[in-house]
Amino acid sequence: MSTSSSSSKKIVLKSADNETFEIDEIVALESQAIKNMIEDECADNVIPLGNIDSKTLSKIIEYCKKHAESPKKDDNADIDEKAVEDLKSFDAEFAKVDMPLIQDILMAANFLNIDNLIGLMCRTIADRIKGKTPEEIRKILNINKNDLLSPEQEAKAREENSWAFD
Amino acid sequence: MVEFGSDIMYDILSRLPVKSLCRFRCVCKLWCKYIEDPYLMTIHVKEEPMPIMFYTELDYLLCRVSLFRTRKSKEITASFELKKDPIFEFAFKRFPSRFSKNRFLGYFNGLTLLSQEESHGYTFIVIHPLRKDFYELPTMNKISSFGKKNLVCGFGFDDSRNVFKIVCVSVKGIGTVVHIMGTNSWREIHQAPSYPMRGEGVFAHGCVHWLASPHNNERDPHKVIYFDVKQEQFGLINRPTRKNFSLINDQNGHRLITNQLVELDGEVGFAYTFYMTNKYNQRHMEVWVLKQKEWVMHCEFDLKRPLSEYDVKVIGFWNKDGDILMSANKGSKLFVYRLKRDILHEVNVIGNDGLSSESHIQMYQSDFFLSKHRYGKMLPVLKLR
Repeated sequence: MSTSSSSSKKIVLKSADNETFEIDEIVALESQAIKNMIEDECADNVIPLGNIDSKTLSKIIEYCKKHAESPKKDDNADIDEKAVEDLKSFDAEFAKVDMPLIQDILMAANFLNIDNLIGLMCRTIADRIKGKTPEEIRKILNINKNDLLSPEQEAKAREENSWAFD
Repeated sequence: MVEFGSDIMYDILSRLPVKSLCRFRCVCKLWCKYIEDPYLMTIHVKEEPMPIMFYTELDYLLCRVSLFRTRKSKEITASFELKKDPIFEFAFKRFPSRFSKNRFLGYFNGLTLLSQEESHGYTFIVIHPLRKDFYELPTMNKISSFGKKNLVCGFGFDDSRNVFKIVCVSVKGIGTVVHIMGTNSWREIHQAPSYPMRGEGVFAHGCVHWLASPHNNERDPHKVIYFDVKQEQFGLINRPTRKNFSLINDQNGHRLITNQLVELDGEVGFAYTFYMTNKYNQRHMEVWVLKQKEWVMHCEFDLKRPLSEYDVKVIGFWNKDGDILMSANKGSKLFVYRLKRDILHEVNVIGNDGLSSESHIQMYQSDFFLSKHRYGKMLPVLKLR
């Protein structure tokens, strides 16, 4: 029997700024999109990711490595609590980055179809914006100025929802 | 900005509290569109319900709505803060007669149904307090033949058709009428409950539930009547069997004071209050929850002083722990029973001169997203604010 297992197979990801990242296939499989490519045998040795920069990609790889190492919930019903806690605190630390990077990670995770990471980023954004005012939201998320409500519409919406503003 | 797709926008928005969403309608047109979308309601992560107070002025014309906020503290005795200004205020359209009276008939998903009884009939109003919307139901001509004092109503949602329905039944079983919100008429259906019914209708799992009353001179049927909102049919289930005895006045001297149906976190709850004569003049409460058609006891506890002096009404679960919020002395005092610690304490209400006996308090599950087209055109009622 061959000693080479699928887990030692390497995949190379190439970022938009032409940096390459060699990772174990098992790590790459955290991405449903890459998994589909591999299964359909349409992945070459190098997978170009033209819309993800190296800073974002290295964060995503960091996340996938950790999650690939951790025991999966459906593997074992009584998965040890320490591992769950460990992963939780990893996620919490992982999300401690600035808002532009959060948004980049979210877009990339969405492209690569990494469910847990999409959830983590959406939760992080929700937590960060929930106490903010509409003005702050516009600034934080750089909302398109051409899409604002007219002053009359805004005054009406504020009046109707006055209880939510204190 | 980074353009998130709609999937991601819904994912983010579904995790926000209702209060934030109300505020974020102002962010931009796109956000407003997402927040108003009924789809968001279906995926939104449910929040803990909060108590809300309806307060009618003495002349019964003006109704004020206030929200409670819980003051977060590690202490055992928590307090509510009542918002100083009411969030919403409206007036009934017709000036009430001397005998008119406002009644709260039921609530579901952020909407509350109330009626004003008048000499010549009823006015029904549905309110969505957080959106400051209200909707006056069409006049029910049939009502005069039912006898105006003898009407029991309920309010529910038919998820097969995505419509709210209001059902009214004459106590004597003469007739049943149904109104679909957004339409302009009442429709008579040839269905009647097996027993007269009483009290507020409690909506859960597609059915409105009421307590059954005995027919003339008969014994209490110990039943709960339900109306399946989709099928438009009545049915009957047994009440929970009290743990502490079985008869109204059994040989142990347990005397029933009240029973009540109440919504408990989306389920039908049943609360018994009775005397335990083996403990001198001690009142006792049992709270049951209907789960998968079986009554499961949630808790039981003694109503110690000063609660032993009052009529107690269960308002609902205060939190996810299943602590019970109760009003006493006609709504002028609030108490909470802490399930895990088995303690009962009064809740301090701060602001707005506290509570008054003219107030009606209920748990409010804030489903903000009911956009207008789901419940039809709002008919204008005289609006003061």
